Amino acid sequence: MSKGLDLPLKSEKPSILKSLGSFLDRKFGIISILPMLLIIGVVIIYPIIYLFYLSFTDTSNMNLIANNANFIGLKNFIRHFKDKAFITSIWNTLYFTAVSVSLSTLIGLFLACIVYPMISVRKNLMVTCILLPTLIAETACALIFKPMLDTSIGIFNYMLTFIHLPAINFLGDKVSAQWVIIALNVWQWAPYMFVFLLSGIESLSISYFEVLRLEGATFFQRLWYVILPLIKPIALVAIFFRITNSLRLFDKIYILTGGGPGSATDTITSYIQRVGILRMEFGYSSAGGVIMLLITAVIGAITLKYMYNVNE
Amino acid sequence: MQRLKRIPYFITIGIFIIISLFPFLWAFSISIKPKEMATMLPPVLIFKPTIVSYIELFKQYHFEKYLVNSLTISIGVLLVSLLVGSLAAFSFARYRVGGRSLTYGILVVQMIPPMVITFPLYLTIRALGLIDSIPGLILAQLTYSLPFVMWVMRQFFMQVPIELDESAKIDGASNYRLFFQIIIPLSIPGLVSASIFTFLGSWNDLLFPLMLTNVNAQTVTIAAANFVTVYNILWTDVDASALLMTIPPILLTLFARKYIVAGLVGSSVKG
Repeated sequence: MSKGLDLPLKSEKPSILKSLGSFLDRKFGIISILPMLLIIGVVIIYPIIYLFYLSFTDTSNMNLIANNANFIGLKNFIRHFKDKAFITSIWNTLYFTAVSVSLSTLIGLFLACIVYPMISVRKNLMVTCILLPTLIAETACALIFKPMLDTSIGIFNYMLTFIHLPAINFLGDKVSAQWVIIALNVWQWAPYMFVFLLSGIESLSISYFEVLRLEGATFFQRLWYVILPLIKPIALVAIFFRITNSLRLFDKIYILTGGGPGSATDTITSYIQRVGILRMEFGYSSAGGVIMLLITAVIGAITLKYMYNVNE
Repeated sequence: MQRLKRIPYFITIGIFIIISLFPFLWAFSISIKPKEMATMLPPVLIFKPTIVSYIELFKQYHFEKYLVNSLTISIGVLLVSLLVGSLAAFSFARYRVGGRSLTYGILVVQMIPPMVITFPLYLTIRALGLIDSIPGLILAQLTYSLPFVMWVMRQFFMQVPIELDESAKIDGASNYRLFFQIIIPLSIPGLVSASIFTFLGSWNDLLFPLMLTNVNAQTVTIAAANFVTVYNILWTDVDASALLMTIPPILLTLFARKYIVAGLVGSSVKG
């Protein structure tokens, strides 16, 4: 009797599992992206919507708990644009980005051109030696250079006075502080461009070079008319990543200069962070965030458009 | 003659290598100097190396706590974004969900500067009760690591031939089996590259730990930055902490160069 009861049960159990399994299998498309959508929703989409809401209110640490923040229209934005330090920080960000991205691209290109003809063992050794600055934390970069840049006991000023040049107040002077930031950015990111451009050149067919050599083209003719146009798509991708990354420059500023002297090295991020922590006015800081988002979006859109016109 | 011609060439390359490595060697030399010699000029070049600064970091400043925090957070971010991100990336690559606009969407999300969403994210995480906790920081860092993993892995999955999917389906494999037993093993190089950069991105981050933690979940970047921004003078400690923080990147450059180059460039292959 028990045998007779057992049989249908046994065959039913797997069939439930099976239909559940095939149901899950059919819904694979949804299930595979559901966790991603959930996380993106919580940590990106919701905060961005919240950002826009906050930017129109006077929410601060004081009235957040009591929940009596007021809607104040565009007042936060007007306050930002009246703030000279904020405007300076926007210009600084654009200036640092433009100069350091173009310098690192040029140096990366130069290096890629001279490393390209090497035999592969040497090439790999070269990449290993040069790659490290790109991978370390910006924090570590700033910390390593901070003692070296010291005015009185740093090694750089010692070297300068050793060859009878005047010592430089690296981080205390407006212009030199800006150039220190740019130089450190280039030190860190030229290798990145180098690796990109090198692999771009390597992906070109060797026959290009052969033909050009037979035709008697000089190095610069080869570079300008053939290599550059061909590696433009990959170079633009690297430049795109570099630009969007430079626009958020913060760590080096925070450790080396704190935005100073004056606001000579303040970037948008360091400005918003400092003022935000100081005043805990979420509404005001969020308005700064919105402005930064718009700036990044415009620059990113221009670069992307250019990038995909070339790639098409 | 041929050899003579190549001398300036090798000198140029040598200069670049020196520029890129000298700061590390210099920092290392300071970090192993006795304290009173560290700031002497002209620099003392012959001295008895000591690891007293490194010991101090652990004894006095409890660096082990920060290292463990950083490691936990980085590995947490790595696991979540790799699992969730590569699953989603597979769907995007195979079923063309969202098409090209979605590809650009991921790129655009990747562009958002972390500072922009820091304050709303702070309030969100505070509402979840996760301020100054490791899960809170992991959640925050997913904002940039998850889109990154999706972007990189999508490129790799698109290079896996679709015929494999079809033959697996004919043999009766479910989508999950196809993904975990066939696609994943074939994409190991891509996964390794994505892991390296996700790990480093999280390990190297300063902004989110600065804004979202104060005591318990502080990371090694914050602890190291404090030597400059709070304590101000201890150079041997500054350099020692910077170098401790640089150990993972150094190990990775030495042993995973191939994957790093592939990851850098692979993340840009046209979609």
